[in-house]
Amino acid sequence: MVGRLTALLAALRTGRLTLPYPYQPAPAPRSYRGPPVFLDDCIGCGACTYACPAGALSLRYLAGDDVVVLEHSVARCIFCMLCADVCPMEAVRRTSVYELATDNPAELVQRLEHRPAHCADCGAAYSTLRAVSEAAGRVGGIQRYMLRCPGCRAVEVASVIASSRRGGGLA
Amino acid sequence: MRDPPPGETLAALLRLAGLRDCREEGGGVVYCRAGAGEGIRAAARLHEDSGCRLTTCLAYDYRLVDGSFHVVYVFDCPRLGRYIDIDIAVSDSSIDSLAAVLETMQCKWCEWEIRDLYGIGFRGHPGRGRLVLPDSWPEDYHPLRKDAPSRPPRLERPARRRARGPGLPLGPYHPALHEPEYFELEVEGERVKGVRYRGFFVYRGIEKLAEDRFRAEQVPFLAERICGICGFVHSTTYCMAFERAVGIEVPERAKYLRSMLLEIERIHSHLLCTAVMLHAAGYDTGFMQLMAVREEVMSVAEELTGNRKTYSANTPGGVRIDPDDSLVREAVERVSRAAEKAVKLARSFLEVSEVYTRLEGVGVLGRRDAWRHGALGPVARASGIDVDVRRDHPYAAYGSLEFEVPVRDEGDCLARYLLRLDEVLESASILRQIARSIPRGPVVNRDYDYAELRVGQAASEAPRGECIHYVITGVSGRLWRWKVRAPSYNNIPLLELMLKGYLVADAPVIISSIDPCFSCTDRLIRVKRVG
Ligand code: SF4
Ligand code: SF4
Repeated sequence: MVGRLTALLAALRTGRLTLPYPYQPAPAPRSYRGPPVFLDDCIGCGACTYACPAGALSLRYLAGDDVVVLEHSVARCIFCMLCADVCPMEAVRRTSVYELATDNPAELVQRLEHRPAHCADCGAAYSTLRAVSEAAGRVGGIQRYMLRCPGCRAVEVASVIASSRRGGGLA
Repeated sequence: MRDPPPGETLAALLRLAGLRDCREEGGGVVYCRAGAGEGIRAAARLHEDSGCRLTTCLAYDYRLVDGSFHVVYVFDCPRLGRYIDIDIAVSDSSIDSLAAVLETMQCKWCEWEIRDLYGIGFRGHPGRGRLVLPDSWPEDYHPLRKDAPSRPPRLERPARRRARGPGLPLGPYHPALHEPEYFELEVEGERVKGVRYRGFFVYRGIEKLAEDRFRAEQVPFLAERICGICGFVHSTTYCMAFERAVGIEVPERAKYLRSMLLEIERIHSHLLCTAVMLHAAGYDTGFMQLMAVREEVMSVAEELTGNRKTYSANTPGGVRIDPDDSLVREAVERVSRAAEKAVKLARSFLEVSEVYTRLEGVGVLGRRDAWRHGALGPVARASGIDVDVRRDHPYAAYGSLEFEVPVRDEGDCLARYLLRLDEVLESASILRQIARSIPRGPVVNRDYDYAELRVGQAASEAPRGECIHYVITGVSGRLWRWKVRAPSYNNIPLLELMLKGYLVADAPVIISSIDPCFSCTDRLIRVKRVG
């Protein structure tokens, strides 16, 4: 009997806790880690795509290498903010939205388009113009290697070694 | 706890067990190599009369490195503050079963799992059929081998199995906790006479996934998702194992922050468990009231880390949050007050005689069984086993914090209920100490080099008991092996002993009293291939 009274008192003291949501909004606390948004400061360097543990980010070369697209999928994202940690441009902003349900899957994808940088030797797209110019800005000028794709850079290194070799071996 | 000088007794112990090739590494883990026969003999001797007991076993495929599989038996020696690993190289794909010698549950399960996943035979092992994999899984496909085909096999439709006798099905979805597990109770009238358990319905190979697709510094985020309640334990334990493997010093402040989040997690986990026990006993008023108070703890976690449960706060080398002192103080105060309020409420619910009688004297687990079969955490401590990783093998900031380890002797549901409440109060006191003494400084150390093929093992006291992660680093920043042993893995098989002799109606209460986490045990994770 005593026990039941205690429980009743506790229940009365607690009162009613149910919120009138969704008839009234119930915003998440400011500290809530919601999905990231990618700002225009992005240079398309791809650091975030490498860091992302969930495979929510991709950097793809589309339309015959004429455009580079950074794509973020909220459906895959686990809201860990590693992308924000590694971004050199502070181009990732955390949001506190949580009502993400939608009947239009396109709303779950954010795209940023970049102009690609083409390799000075072979012409293939290998980075974005903004990433190259940012890199040049950071080291005080364009360096030869910045204008070449990783493949051509490797070839160049190999041929430097080959041409300086004295005697022996093939070609 | 550690009165005899540890060095001497450890050496004596290893001599007694006949282990010669041993080296001690960071974190108090002693790695010993042994041949098959010698290793099993040593393991049997260690488990029987040394104050140590087998906590789990695991395997890894090292054929590409040294030509063999390895089976590792992990022993917890609480009085020495050490773990002893007996690492046996298996060259001819089968060894003698230790479970056949010890006849204990934890050993039966872990060897059985290795047989399923690696195809290593254990001569004399008592298990028939499959433990982890579906019954219709092909015999020659061992998913955790390094050369396993990347496509899953086509499964036959399982043959309909005839129940062996009059079994009462409990599950697969709803006894006590709403998770996939299945108990078949053999009953005589209302009494349970025997229990058969089938779980692992949601085993998805999370360890394999990490080895194949994740870099070591990304794994904490996967580890955190092993459990829907105590995820931070898993990410912390993984990080500690990895930190030991490659030799990373973690800053003091990060250790305190880890301990703080771990205790917050313990509080909300224990409150959930007590609430669910009340629910299983049919007392939903209690359930609702406790869950309402627990909500405060969840909000504090959200303010500290950005999420109620998935904190994403760990990274190898430290943590990713750095709350200022006033926030820490306020958070700790709010959590402690909620904890105290909840404990008072939960104790008062026992005055309701219907609740009390549903818990008292029900589901008793004896002390000897609890020790031998490897019971962990509150289940062990409510049966008189005085173990707690935080005290016996200090990690994070626990070495510098003072706390009691509550132990009770009754071993019934009531003892497990009350013990958790005592632990909640201890956690609150730990939190207050942290708020008073947390040092200033950096929260993460990123100054380390990846090292290949190194072993690291870490243990932590999760809300449900000792959680073990075992890591072998691989090449190009990935892991060679990652093994997760959650506490419920040891506690669930003990339900067989706890359910026997009690009423069918008690089964949900008993099951919820061990606070089983089936997703930890099964290591569930939902994944889809990325394009
Ligand atoms: S928040 Fe995490 S999961 Fe989401 S895009 Fe960024 S790194 Fe990937
Ligand atoms: S600039 Fe930042 S957001 Fe853009 S690709 Fe690089 S890391 Fe990602």
